[in-house]
Amino acid sequence: MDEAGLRTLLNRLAGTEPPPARIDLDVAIARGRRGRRWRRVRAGVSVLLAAGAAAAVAAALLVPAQRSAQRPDQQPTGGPAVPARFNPLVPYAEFGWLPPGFQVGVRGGTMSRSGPAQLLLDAFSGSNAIIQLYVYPTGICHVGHDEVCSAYDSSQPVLSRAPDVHGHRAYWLRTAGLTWEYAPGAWTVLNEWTNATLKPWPPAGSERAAVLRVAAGVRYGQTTPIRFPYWISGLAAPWRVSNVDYTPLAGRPVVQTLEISNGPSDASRVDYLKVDFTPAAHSHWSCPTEGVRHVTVDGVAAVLENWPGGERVCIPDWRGLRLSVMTADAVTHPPNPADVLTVARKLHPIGPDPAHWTTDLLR
Amino acid sequence: MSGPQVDYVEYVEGRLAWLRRLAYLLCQDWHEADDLVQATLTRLYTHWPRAARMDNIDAYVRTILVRTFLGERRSPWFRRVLLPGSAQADGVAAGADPDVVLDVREALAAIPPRQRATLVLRFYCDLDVAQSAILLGCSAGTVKSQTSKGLAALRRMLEPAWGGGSDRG
Repeated sequence: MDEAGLRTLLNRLAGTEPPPARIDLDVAIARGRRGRRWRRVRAGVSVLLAAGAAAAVAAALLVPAQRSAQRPDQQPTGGPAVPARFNPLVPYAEFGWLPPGFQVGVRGGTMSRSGPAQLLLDAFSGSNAIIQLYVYPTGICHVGHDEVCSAYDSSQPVLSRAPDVHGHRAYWLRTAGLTWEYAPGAWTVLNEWTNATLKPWPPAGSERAAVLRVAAGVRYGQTTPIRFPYWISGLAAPWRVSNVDYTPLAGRPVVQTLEISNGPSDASRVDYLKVDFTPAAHSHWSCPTEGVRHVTVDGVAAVLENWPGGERVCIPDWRGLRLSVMTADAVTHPPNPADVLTVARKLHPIGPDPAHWTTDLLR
Repeated sequence: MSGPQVDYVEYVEGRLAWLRRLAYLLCQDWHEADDLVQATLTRLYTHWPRAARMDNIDAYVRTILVRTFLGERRSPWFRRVLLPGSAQADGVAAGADPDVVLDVREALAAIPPRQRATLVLRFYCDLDVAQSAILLGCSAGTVKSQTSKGLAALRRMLEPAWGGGSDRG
């Protein structure tokens, strides 16, 4: 097949008869309007900062929003020992300093994600401002004209050299980012949430100082494991934990969503399954009741839901937890129908009280 | 409804079919494609005052759509939102061989999203290497290598069915 052949194929595929559109233009306008309001707020703040009239704001930037007792300049300058792969159950890094108003956690709709080849930390300011931190183990990213992080098929053009971060080389990225080599061969990328094509970058003035201070404050080599409201028995190879979405609760990380997979993320055919939970009494999230098949999991009533390319088993109340196991990415091929039930039957719920949750997930 | 909003609605209504087709080539699933278009149109509305003044709005929207697609796919567990009653088999274009369409769709779905996006931009949108590189935010060399890898992968998957690569259409 040559390029002309591919053109023919793509045009033929694009000519596939579409189902009725599900696009809701009113929703797009309403959400887009909220986005505009946020952009106006940002623009106003930028003007203040650029004019130098925001001495109070600049001063406020010097006040740590969270974890104020720990100063970023206490970061060791030699760089931590970094493994070739992270343990997804133990987030390797955390924010040390954030601008006022930013917080880590689900309250703003964000979560951090811990995986073997990438740790993603999100901090949210309350009205859609997000600082994202991507931390990679050694050997994943390489910087030349672009920063290329191979495991994630990511390539971001390098704009220019940035001030060193704790004595380590750093670069501004075109995609509203800053990257630095926090240890030999190991890189971190910081992105500000906005449309990268519209944001002036590198930043200037106080915003620049704040970005660099966030970078300097990142704490590596963390050892606090994530806590789970369930444990799993007999999860056999090739299944393994591929990502954990988590959020802090009382200062310790707790799981939101567990993702397991049966192959490396760069393989062409991989099944991903997600385990989600919420207290059974939670009113905003329920199991479907129509178009489902009724099954049991460890003697507990559950429903099995199917759709083209995916499925989910949902257990409405299992020791006070509502649990769900679903196919997370079934784009590449149909899932194995046995997978979600098989995995659900390996779960052992503990209960909704975080005081009793465990860090010993796999037994 | 204000003037700019009318312009926005008119533009979207006029280009919706094109956007859905492009999204479908990226997602291989009409429902995911609609989710992608929905997200794209939201971002477009946010930036409409600026977009409306552009010479080539289509190129701007295409950039939003492709980058939104790649942004979602960077995380392996991207959320798939299915609306109630939305599950139904995708149809096939009149006159097209259903088996061939399914083969192509499965083959495209099996290659990495960035390679897929590169192939769609190069061979469906007819963008050249430089244009594709700007849109994807990468170097021309990366576009070339992604194109080469993507074509090779499709060839491996499709050639048995295509009798050595000739177009039997």
